[in-house]
Amino acid sequence: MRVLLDDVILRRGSFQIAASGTFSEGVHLVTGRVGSGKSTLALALAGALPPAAGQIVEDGIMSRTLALPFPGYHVTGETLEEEVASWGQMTAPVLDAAGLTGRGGEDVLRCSQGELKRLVLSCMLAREWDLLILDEPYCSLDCAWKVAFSGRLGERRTGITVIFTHEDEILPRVDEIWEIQDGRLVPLGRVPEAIPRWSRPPRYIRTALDAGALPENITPGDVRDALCRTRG
Amino acid sequence: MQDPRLTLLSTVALSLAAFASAWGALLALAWWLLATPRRLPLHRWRSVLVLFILVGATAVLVAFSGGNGLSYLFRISTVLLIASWAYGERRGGELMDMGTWALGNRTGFEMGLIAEMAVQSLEGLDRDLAMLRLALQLKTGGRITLRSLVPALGLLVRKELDRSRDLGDILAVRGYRQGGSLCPRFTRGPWDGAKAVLAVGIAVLVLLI
Repeated sequence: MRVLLDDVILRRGSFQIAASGTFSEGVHLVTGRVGSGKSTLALALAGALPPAAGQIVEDGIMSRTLALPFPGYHVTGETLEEEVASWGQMTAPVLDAAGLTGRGGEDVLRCSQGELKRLVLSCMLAREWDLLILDEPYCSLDCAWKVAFSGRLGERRTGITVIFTHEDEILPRVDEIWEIQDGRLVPLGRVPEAIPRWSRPPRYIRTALDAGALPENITPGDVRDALCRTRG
Repeated sequence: MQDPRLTLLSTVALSLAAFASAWGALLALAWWLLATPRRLPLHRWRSVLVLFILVGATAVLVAFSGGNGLSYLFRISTVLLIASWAYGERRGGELMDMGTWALGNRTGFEMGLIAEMAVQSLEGLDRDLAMLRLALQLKTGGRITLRSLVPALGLLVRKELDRSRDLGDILAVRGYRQGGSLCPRFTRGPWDGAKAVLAVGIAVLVLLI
C-alpha cells in the first residue's frame, strides 16, 4: 500500500507547490508554515485537486478520507447519535472516545467547535482507512484533547496516515517526517534520523536538539526522556 | 481593466444595453470579445449550469406567456457574462477605494467597508460550499440528500454568524464608530478609458434607438 507523488506540481491561483516522494504504510507528519501549501497537498492526496503536472499514483488504496480543519463540513446527522451512525459506527464507544458520553440525543448545532472536532475525529479514527489524511487535526482542540488524539494517532498501525499540521506543542508518535520548504515538499526520512534534519521543529524539540539530545520520536514524552538521558 | 471605477461604469452600461434589447446584447457581447481576456468561468461549470438552467426555465415561461423567450435567454446570458467578467476583475480593497472616492470619508467609507465585508463573506461562502461538497463526497460517496445537507448548512450559517460577530468585535475593540480616513488610489491601464467610452457609447446608442 503506498501513494507515490511523481514530480507533482500543484497550483491554486498564483500559488504553486512541488512534491515528490512516496507515502508508505505508517504515520507521516507533514509540517510547514501557515500558508506553505499543506492544505493544498492534503486536497491533492485526497483526490480533490488534480496536479497541474506530474502524477499521483496510488497502490492498494481502497478506502480514504480527509479530515478538514472545520469539522462542520463533515456533519450530516442532526443529533450526535445520528452523526455517529452516519459513519457506520456504534454510538456509545465513539461518544465515549469524544468525551460526549450520554449526549447522543443532543442537536449537533448545540455543540461547540471543539466538541464537533472531537466527534468527527473520533468517528474517523473508529474505523480503518487505507489512506487517512488529517488537515490541521489539532485546531479547535484544547491541550488535553490534543494529547488524547495524539496518542490515538500514534497507535495507528494499519494503512497510511498523513497528518498536516503546524502544531507546535503536542505531536503524535510518527514514522516519517516531511517538511514544506520554499514551495517544495521535502522528505526528511524516518524518525528518529529525520529529527535533526528538521529545519523548523517545534520549540520543545528544538530545545532538546540544542541540548544535544536526540529523541526516539517527536512526542513531548520522547523529548523529555531524551533530555533526562542526556542530563543523566 | 485596472481602474475599478471604469470597470463598474462599463458593467452598468453594458448590462443596461444587454437587458434593453437583443441588439444591445449582441453589441455587449462584441465588447466582451474585444475588450476582455475572454475567460469563461468554466472551472465553475456547476454554478454556470445551474444559472443557465434557471435562466432557460424563465425563458421558457416567457415564451409560453407570449414573449420572446430566445431573446430573453440571450440578453440575460450576456448580462451574466458581463457580471462574471466584472467579478473576476475585482481586487481586495477596491470597493472601499471606490466608496470613499465617490462619497467621501464618512458615508463612502462606511458603504465601502460594508461592501468589502459582504464580498469577503461571499468568497468565504464559496470556499465553504466547495469544502462541504468535498467532505460529503468523501463521506457518502456522492449520495448527497437534502436531509444530509441540512446540519452542515446550519453549521455554516452559525460559522458565518460567528465570523460576523468576531469582525464586529474587532472593529469595536479598535475603536471604530463611524467613517474613517482613506486616500483611494487607482491605477489605469492604457486602454481602460477607451474601453469604458465604448461601453457607455453602446449603452447610449441602444437606449436612444
